[in-house]
Amino acid sequence: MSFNKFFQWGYSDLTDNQFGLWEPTLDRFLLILNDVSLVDCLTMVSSSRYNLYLCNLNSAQNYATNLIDNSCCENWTLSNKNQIKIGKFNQYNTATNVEFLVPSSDSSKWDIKQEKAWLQICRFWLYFIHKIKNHQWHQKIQFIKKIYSSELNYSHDYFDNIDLVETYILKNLYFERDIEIINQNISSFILNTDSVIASHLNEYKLCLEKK
Amino acid sequence: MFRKKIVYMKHLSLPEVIVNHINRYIPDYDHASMCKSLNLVVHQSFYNRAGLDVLPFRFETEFLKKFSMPQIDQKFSKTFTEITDQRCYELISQYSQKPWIIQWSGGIDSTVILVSLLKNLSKEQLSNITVSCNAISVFENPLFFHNHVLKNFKTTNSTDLHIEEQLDDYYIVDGNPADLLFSGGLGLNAKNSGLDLSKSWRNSADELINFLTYYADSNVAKWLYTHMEANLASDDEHCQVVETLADWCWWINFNWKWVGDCWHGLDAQRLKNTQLYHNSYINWFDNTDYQQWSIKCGRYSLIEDGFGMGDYKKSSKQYIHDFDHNDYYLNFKTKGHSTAQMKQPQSWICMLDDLSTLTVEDDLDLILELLPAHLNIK
Repeated sequence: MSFNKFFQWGYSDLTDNQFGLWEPTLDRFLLILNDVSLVDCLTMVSSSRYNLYLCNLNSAQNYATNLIDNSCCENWTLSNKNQIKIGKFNQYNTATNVEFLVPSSDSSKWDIKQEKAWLQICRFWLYFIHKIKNHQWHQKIQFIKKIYSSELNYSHDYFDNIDLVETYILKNLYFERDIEIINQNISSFILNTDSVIASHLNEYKLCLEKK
Repeated sequence: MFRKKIVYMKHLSLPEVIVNHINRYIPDYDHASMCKSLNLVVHQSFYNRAGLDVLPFRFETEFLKKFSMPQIDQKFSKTFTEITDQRCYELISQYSQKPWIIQWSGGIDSTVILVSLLKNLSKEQLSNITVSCNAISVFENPLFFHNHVLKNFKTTNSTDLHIEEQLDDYYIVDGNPADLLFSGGLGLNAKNSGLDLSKSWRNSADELINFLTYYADSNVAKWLYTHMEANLASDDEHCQVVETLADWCWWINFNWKWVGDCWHGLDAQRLKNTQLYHNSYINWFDNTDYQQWSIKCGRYSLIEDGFGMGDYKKSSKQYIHDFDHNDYYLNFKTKGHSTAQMKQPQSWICMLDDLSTLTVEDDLDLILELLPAHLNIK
């Protein structure tokens, strides 16, 4: 599976908002997002490697659209990093407003491209979970199940499989280090678990390819 | 008649009646400012182990001699790895009558303990050890939990664990006072604020006070600086090694916080007599070798280990990495506020030299009678 399929620029047609996930040891942004709805989960998954801190890029005095995106985010850091409470237990509900975007040092010996690729893959799979769990059909049936939990006695079904798939995805992202193995494991698990979820996955990938 | 005396009390939550009584003997004792100053650096209690005793509460040298700083061994050459491996053998032979509970917060220091046990003990010996942890511990180091803790130890949820109920049947081991072997959070914050920690602290008074003012008001910052300056003016050999700003941050930890940190567990219990606690509660990092190492190497860690966020406690992380080869943990793990395994203290206590404890509710008259002898009254 080509990793290019997972790449997103960090722009959106729908909003000008741009946020960056900043890593303190490398002192640079590793991922740019325009949608923070998955930030909590993304940063929890990535915490098995490092802690990421959410920054609001639009607030930077030198911010411009096209200045920073996921092709070059590792070249940037923020001038006011001492405002970020590193070491405090992860508080992802507030973003630090960047004062200035400044170039990061080029002295890191870490394979940053690999980390960026991994984060893009995390974002892909977490968004996939989000999509299938928030599908209208799924939400309606889950609602009715709560009201008629004893009358509608579902045995192992599609919705249990969603939970299984979610757990499997999270575990792989959290523990596995090899990107190829992550994708192979997850894709084949979905294929072997539930054909409906597998078809959702195909639709999702096709949708991304068209963009 | 044997006269009891107070040897230890919790300082940062002194009841008002106690503070008022202290002021009768030390009129300029400003408890609110003291808390603000030392809250920068101290969790519980602060006692002066070496140098001029400038603190309000007396370090009872005879009773607390186990906490006295060891004489500096100029030829000391043991590495962190050697000390930590030896510590395992030392404690296993000394504390063999009961099984152990290790309080694993998931942080660096308690993970060092588990690595030492895994490296140096047999499967049979490990079967006698339970790891007390919770979801937050796992979150701090999930791979270690997954690959090593689950496979080698019994586990118990620390959220439900009441230490005082376990002391009869277990030895309890925790990672104190590892933080104090280094420059600690204060040093890290100083470095992150741009202070050059290799500079002489004596020539950096303004910079240091300015930095401290970021966390407390200027009077409090000056109080801290001037009291440290007075303490370090002593001829004590330990004071002579404090030269740089990194040393200064380290010294507050190493000198003032040691007793309180080692007895941090005591504060969380409600024990009328603490004998069982003292016999059964083990601070892994409280021994002579670790302190010698700290004087020789640990205090330099913020200067010599590198300036990156991930370089903090490099020796400890390297010890873990040599075992589990987790490159991410070695390079990216930063200092966090590990969740305390302790329950919140139920009330303020003070301890006497017969190891009994007094509370304001039951023993106020006796506390007020004994208190003056526990103060450094000028």
